[in-house]
Amino acid sequence: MRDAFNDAINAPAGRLAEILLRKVTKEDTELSGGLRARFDKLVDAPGRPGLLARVRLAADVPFLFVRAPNWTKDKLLPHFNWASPDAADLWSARKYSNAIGTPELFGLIKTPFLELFGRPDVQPEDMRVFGDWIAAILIVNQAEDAGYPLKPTEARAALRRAGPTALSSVGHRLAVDMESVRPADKATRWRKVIGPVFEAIWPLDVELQTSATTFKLVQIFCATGDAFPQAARVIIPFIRTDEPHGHGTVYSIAEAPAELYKASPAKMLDLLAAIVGDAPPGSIYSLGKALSRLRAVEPKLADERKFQKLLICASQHG
Amino acid sequence: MARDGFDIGKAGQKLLVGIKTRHPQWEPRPAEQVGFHVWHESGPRAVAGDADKLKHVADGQLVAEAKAIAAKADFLDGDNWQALCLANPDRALRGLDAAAEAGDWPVEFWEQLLWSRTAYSDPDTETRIAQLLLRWPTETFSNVSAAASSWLNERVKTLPDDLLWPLWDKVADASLTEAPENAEAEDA
Repeated sequence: MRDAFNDAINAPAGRLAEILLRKVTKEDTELSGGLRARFDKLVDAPGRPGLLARVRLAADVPFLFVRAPNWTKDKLLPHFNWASPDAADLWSARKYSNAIGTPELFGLIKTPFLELFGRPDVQPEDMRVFGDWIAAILIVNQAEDAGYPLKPTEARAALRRAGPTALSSVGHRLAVDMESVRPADKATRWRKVIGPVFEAIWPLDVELQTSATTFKLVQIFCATGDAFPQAARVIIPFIRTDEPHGHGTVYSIAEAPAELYKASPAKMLDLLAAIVGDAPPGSIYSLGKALSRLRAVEPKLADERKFQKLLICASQHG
Repeated sequence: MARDGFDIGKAGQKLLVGIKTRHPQWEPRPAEQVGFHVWHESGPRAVAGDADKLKHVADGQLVAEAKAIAAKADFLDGDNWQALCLANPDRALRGLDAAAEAGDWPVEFWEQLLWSRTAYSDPDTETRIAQLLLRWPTETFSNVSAAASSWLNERVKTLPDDLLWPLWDKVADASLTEAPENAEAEDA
């Protein structure tokens, strides 16, 4: 799909912007002289060439804000406000940024950032990226006291407006973070960072809990290691029945690390029951394997009605 | 079988030698066609230009000769000027330089040179291209400004500032107007 950023990098205005960006040196604290005049000329240009120039610069706004904070604040940031006709294209370009930017930069465009969630003119792909940013910001705030001016309540409200696409992205970020932690540190990471962030921002709305979010929640589970019982208590209420004929989620559980099964077999059974729901007999691939692993760890579970019901749903083919 | 190193026996070898002697032009079919009585192929074939067609032309006559060849070219003939720009951009520039002296600024020929990513052999080529672009008549420069902006973007680190900035300004003057962007045409 083409967007304004793709047009910009293929147009003279966008290339002129790239040349200027490459001429800004590490020593620059504010633009000056000829360089500033040319940045002004680009950003103030009328019509579509001007828009494409601003769009190309928007993708590098974190870099520009470090090198030329006053110029960026005066000339570029106002175009991110939704009152500007450029806002949709500039935010769309912003998703190509390599970085979110400093807390100060984020604070200056926080309002239009939060407003974009739920706007009909924002593409789902953009929503996915910015949902990921919300999770990343809250994680780094929680873990390192980074100081991004974003309250969990603001984040949760934005995610509620945005819908399941952004929520899946948040789940993915949380899962990837847990996956990156060493096994010995997983319980601490969950207790101090990921668990609190999850509880603070994950919306309670039933309609936002989908198969896609469930898949991501299970991805988080599979990365929790020793923290599995604590994570299960918090996350299982948000698990929804997998889509018929989908069941990739059950497969993920069937292949999950042995520590999870050992950490809390009963919670694992609860998790499987929540995902399978009222599936038809013999319809769930990989469920038999997951149940076998459970039984090997905790044989008594096989006598429970929940286990027996799941056994009926397991496919005979795997 | 012989091609794949199998022993086809003395009689087979004798027969094969006899065939080759009687039919010196004969050769086995390509390996992937072995076993098929009929072989059909379809798909795109790149129409490649031939820079050698301009091999014996003097630099000062290059552009005129390339134009003459292009005017007579068949539908399936390749673009010889493009081939020259890809094979020897330094020589293509010398041709364009001579044409410019005569007031001829062929846009398509210049675009082929500016889009070419073949490394220059002559250390002066890059500088001379920038100098000529700066001399390009203002009223028609917008026709080549898209290619010029792409070329300039590739030369940020090597082109001296006293050429880079005037050329940046010239491209900006030609591009930052209300006129429709050329992005679509560039992609075509």
